[in-house]
Amino acid sequence: MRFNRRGFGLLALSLFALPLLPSLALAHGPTRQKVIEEITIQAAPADVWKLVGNFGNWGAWHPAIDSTTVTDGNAVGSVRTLKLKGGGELVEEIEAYDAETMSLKYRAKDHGALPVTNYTSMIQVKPADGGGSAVTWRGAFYRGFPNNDPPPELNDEAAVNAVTGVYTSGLANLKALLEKK
Amino acid sequence: MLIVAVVAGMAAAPAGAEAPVPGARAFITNQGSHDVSVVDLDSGHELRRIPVAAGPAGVAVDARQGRVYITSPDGRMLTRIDARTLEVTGTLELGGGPVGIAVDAAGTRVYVSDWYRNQLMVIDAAGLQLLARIALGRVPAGIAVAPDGQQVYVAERDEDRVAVIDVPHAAVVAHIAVGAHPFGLALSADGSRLFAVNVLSNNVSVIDTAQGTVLRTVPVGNTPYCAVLAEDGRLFVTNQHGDSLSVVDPQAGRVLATVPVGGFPEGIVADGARVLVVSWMDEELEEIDTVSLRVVRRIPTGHNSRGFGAFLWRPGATH
Repeated sequence: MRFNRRGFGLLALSLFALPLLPSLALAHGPTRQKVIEEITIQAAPADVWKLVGNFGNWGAWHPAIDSTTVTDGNAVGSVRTLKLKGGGELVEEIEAYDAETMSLKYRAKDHGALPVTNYTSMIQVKPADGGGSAVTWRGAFYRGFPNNDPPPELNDEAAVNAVTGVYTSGLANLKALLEKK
Repeated sequence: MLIVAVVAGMAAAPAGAEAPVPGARAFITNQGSHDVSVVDLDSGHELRRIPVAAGPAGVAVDARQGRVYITSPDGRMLTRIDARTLEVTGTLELGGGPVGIAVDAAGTRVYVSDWYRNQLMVIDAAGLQLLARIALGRVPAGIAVAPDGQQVYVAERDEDRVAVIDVPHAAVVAHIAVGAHPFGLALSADGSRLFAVNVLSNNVSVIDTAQGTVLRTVPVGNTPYCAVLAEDGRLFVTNQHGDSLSVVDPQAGRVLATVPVGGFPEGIVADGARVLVVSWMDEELEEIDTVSLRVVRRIPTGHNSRGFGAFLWRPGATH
């Protein structure tokens, strides 16, 4: 037996028309989402890492950040608080930092400015084929609404769109800054 | 739908056999592409991608009857697949958030944890009918079934404990306190040791099932998720944020080695001298040689692959 997924979705809606009371569970949504964005920059990897690897000063390159405070520089466990230009803030903690491989992993506290939960991210700089640098930024997260039947602003799509926006705008500005003659 | 027999990669048919005997297969749930990747482990090729209800995550295999069971938390559905023909042979609408899944060794009962409604659903495997709902604590996740099928263990994630269910009475008979946010469970072949993987406390609780007590707690990597006991008695644990496996001596209670693998390793099974791990971030099945502790093969899967459960089928195996 095979079925069309969209068709099944409609069927499921009709069969489960009785709304389930959302539980008080602290559970996240059922499906973890991911975003992976990559950009090539005509600059030496070390020069890119100077910006990307400075956890407490991403405002130097990310256009959405207004100001930052950081507790412990680039040490594992260091926590930064980002005030965003559009309002709201993000609180993020370093999970792993490796200057050798130019990679940084961090996780965000829930209920920040992004419509996500259980958000973790990694950014890495590598030498690009043919010169310059390749920067990869990847994130893993659940949608903002923890139970079934999320409102549109807190569904999987909203979460993916928000994180994609953070990554693409940040990487585009990073490239523009570093390639500026 | 016409099923086209896939011959490539199958073992040669023994003389007199009615049908070719397929090699071992992995059934990997792809939560992002809403299908199941069937990987032939002899050839290392993906045989088929089987569409299922939205967002499949959990998987269990009844080795005897060659049946594969899949949970779809988004589609709120259970799907049964024939491991040989790769046809979908039944579905059951469950509602809620079906995530964890296990089947008993006899292949008669399927157990599904309901992430949202805090219950264990007991399903008759042959008829695909819901037999019972057993109330559980908050956010039930991984499930293990005792070899004799008389007890079922469920990780109650947000209660930081494991529920012990007596099958004949369909009732929770005990709770075992473990670390913070247990998710995956693993059971030794004789059922005497249960391992609870604690996501937030970065450790594994080693449980004596006869006593219902935690013998020791072993620190592992960052954000561990699932575990499996290899043939040689070592425990292999996937570390989601560590992008690694911790190889644990469960007797000594220490990590023997850490093996770098793909991003966000999740489901893991053991098969002789190898373990097979699903990388959610890199979307592949990785084969690790348990002697050299190296990744020896990487096989692409569908999107956002999870493989949460015992996803291996080996024809002729009894469990």
